[in-house]
Amino acid sequence: MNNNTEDLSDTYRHSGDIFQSIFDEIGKVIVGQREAVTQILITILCDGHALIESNPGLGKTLTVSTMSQILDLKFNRIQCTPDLMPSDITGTYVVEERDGGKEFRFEPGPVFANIVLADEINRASPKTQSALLESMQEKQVTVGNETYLLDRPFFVLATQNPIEMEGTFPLPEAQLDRFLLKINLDYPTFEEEDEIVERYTRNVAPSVNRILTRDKLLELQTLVRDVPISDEMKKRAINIVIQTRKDAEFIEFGASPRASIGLILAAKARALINGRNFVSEEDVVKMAYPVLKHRIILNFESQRKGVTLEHVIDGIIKHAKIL
Amino acid sequence: MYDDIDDIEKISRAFHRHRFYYKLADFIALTLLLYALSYYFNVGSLFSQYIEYYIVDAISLDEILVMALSILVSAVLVIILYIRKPAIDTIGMIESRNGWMQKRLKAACDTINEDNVVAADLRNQVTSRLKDVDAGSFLNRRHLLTMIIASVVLTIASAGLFTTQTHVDITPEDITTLVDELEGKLPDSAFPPGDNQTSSPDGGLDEDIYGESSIASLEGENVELVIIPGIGTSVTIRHAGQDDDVQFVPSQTYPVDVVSSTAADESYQLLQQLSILDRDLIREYAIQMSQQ
Repeated sequence: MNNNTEDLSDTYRHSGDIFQSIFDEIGKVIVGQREAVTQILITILCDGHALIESNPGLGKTLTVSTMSQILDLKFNRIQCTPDLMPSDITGTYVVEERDGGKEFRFEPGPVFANIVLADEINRASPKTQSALLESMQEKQVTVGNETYLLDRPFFVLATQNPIEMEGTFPLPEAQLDRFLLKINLDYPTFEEEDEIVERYTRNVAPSVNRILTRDKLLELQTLVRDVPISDEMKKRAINIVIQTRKDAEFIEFGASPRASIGLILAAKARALINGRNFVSEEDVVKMAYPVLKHRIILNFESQRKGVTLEHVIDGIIKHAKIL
Repeated sequence: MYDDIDDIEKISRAFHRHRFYYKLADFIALTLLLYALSYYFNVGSLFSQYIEYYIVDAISLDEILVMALSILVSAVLVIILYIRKPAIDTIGMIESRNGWMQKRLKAACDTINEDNVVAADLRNQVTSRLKDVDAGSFLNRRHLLTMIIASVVLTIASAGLFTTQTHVDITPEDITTLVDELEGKLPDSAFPPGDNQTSSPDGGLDEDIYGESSIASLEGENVELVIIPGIGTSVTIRHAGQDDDVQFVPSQTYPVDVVSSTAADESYQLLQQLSILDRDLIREYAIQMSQQ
């Protein structure tokens, strides 16, 4: 126990350098997208899952795979298609000949990794989506009568393509609630795109070094939950979530208490990444958007008036009072 | 709640002391203000029936009652004023003066029972910074100084009001009217006609209430001489001839004042029955007349 405490103290003391190294290292491969990278890191530190929505070609897969290299985690990618079966994700039994006999052997599916990128999850059938979402929630897979635990840490980064929505199966709202954050990747600026072209039109592709071990990452996850938050900030976060259920003007369905948990955890992670040992109001406010965006359903009135989710969340944050 | 952060407790106690100082200063200034106002507006007349009772030789009961009323009202006002004020928020006050402390102090205090690396680090940082917080810098010296100066000014004003004579803003005509009214209350014998008293055509008395000194010369034998009390300051009896063992009834002596005249014989006692206000009016009237 003492060794664990000492290791934890040591990791805490060097956490600032660790995070800076992670950003520097990922910056070698990914140009810009600082906020998106931060939110992916926050998701990992909170032991959650993220839904990434972006147009094609913005480096979703590259970002996630680079992150897995830096964090020394096993990475698997699942390309979701309409004909994808649940067993294609969870794994299945195969018949194997051994010692002159045949027996079933479980062949783990791609979900048995530390970071799983489920690309275009809205293209998979609802049954397949459920299989993945169940593994996200339970951190285990049940095949037949056997239950297989998934390795820790375990993150699912699911992507959705906002353009090609035809023939897709949008995730139901109840399932969307399982994702901690919804991350948007934006198009790069001219200077960033110039840098991207410069790097990726050469013979030498950029590479990254490992920064963290799995144990260090688990320690960082522990430290995130240890970050102190004042009662005032806690109430502020809860009040923001509750207001999504009370705002009848533009919101059809508000966020669940899972959003309150997610908001506070994400705020703690953001504080630690920014070198603070307490949660500030800025942490709560900044994290409110990615936490709430996929959990709120706007009503027809908002669509009629052209009110966006960002506007609604903005209004809620401004008007939410401390209880 | 913040037992482990002793510095916050010390600062909190200092803030409570500061509030006590404000209350005391407000109470003293308000009391003096109310006392001065009550003296100016002659609130003491409400207690005129106690004017002749003295608790301390120089202070009558009515003045003590006025002071007590001022103290009571100002105490009530101060209580109401400070009940409406919010409770002292020590942490909020420290955070408002120290930008570094904002959110940190609250987070450290709210997680004081958490035992982990991050919370301990925050507590250590906050505790070391709290030692630099000077509770005295939070004292609102301007408020206290203002109240002290106001108290000094009000004390001087009260002393000034106390030592100046009662100002009666009435004209001689008002006093004449009052005297006429008083005449109706007193019997005719109160103002017997004398050499220096003439009755006016209206039936009232002449305004000359001062009498001239007179010498009564009596001659005869077996003169029955009765000295009516109140006449003159003294009576000097001189008789010519042989000394007879004559017993004279000595008269009462009384101090020289405006009623020491031939008009003030039996009327003196009657006048004493008038209220202090009426007597003050007569005094003021006499003074103004003497100055004409």
